[in-house]
Amino acid sequence: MTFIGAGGGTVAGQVVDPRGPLVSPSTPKTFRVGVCCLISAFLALGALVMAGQAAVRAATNCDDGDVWNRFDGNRSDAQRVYAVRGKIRDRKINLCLDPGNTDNDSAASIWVMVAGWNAFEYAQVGYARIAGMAAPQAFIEYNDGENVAPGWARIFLPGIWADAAQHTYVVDYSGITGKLYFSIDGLNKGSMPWSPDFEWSTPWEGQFYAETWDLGDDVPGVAGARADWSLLAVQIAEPGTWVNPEGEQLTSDLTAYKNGWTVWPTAFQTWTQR
Amino acid sequence: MKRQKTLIVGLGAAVAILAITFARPSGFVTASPSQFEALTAALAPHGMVLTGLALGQTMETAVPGPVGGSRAMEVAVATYGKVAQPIVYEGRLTMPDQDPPIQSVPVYAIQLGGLNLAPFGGPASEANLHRELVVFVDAASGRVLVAITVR
Repeated sequence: MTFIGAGGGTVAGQVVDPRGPLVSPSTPKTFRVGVCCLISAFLALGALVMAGQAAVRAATNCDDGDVWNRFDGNRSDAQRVYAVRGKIRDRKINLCLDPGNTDNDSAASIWVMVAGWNAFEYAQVGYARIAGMAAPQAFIEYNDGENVAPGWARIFLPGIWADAAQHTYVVDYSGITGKLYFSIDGLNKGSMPWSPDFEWSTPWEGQFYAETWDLGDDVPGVAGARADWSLLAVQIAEPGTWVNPEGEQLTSDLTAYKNGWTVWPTAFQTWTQR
Repeated sequence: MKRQKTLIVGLGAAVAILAITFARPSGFVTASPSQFEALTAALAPHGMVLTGLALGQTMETAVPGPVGGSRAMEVAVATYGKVAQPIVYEGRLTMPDQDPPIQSVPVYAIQLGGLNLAPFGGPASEANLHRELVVFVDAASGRVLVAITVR
């Protein structure tokens, strides 16, 4: 062993720091490794949390402070409507989903509807995607406009929606039972369990809309692959036959939500273009 | 020795924090008889009849090779997401209004809770939000048959 001077040098070929070891020689190696692991773990945790928050801000554009219905489509409000029909093309739905936040209000849907005169009185069928869902699904929803039973219900019907496919949706009132029935492609998919005769105000109207809940949600369809609507029709008597809707006027509640007639007044398109 | 103990406690705390942060609970809760009763009552007005399996019957005897509650829960969560721990029911579902009709099909009903679902019709009061989505999974095929929101 050689020792050269007091200002530093080598000990058995190793550089010796004249200030002495940075870590006390009495500190166990496992302790030093443990401290490093602990610090690394907390740093990694912090980095992941911050990265997650950044991803939410950058990728979603969700605005939970401005959640409200926004529509794209039209209504037939010049007639007393007993039934409504529309053929809609299935398109993917882009939502402003907050990754990991399953409590958000993000949702989008596209549907045909018979609606009562007051708000929240409606029966609709179409397809929808809400926060948490991997893909859109056909759905039925009805509402009596009240906060008490029977209230409202939403029923999802998997196995029908398929990107670019088309389905014909119908909501049809029966004067025999006094109830509304829902069908997709001619197959009955359920009925409203109570009669709108006793729950809704009149007159009823037909509606054909895409709808979203958040500014960051898209209505189905994009410029190059729009959501096509066709076979639009209503029944204005019960029993009745299908006739063209009247009083239709395409409207959009957000400039990013586009629409246009292909065959007025029975076919149009809706899509999102941001 | 004291430092080593501190180290172990510190590392333990770090591991616990990481575990809690990234935990993906995979279990589920099996429904109690009263929960089953409450669910059947909530479904009945919507044309969905959920009945229990016959006395002494299990899903294994009702369906050859059932997918199992865990698999059914995985399917439900993958399709609709999850907030709270799901509750799993076993029973038979009948929906005569459906075309083709669903007649006494053995199902796992997966109740996904902790939701705040408002009707598409518009913003709703707290009292009118639906807190649960019940997903019916065919016990034989593992496919989702139908799902419905309940208050």
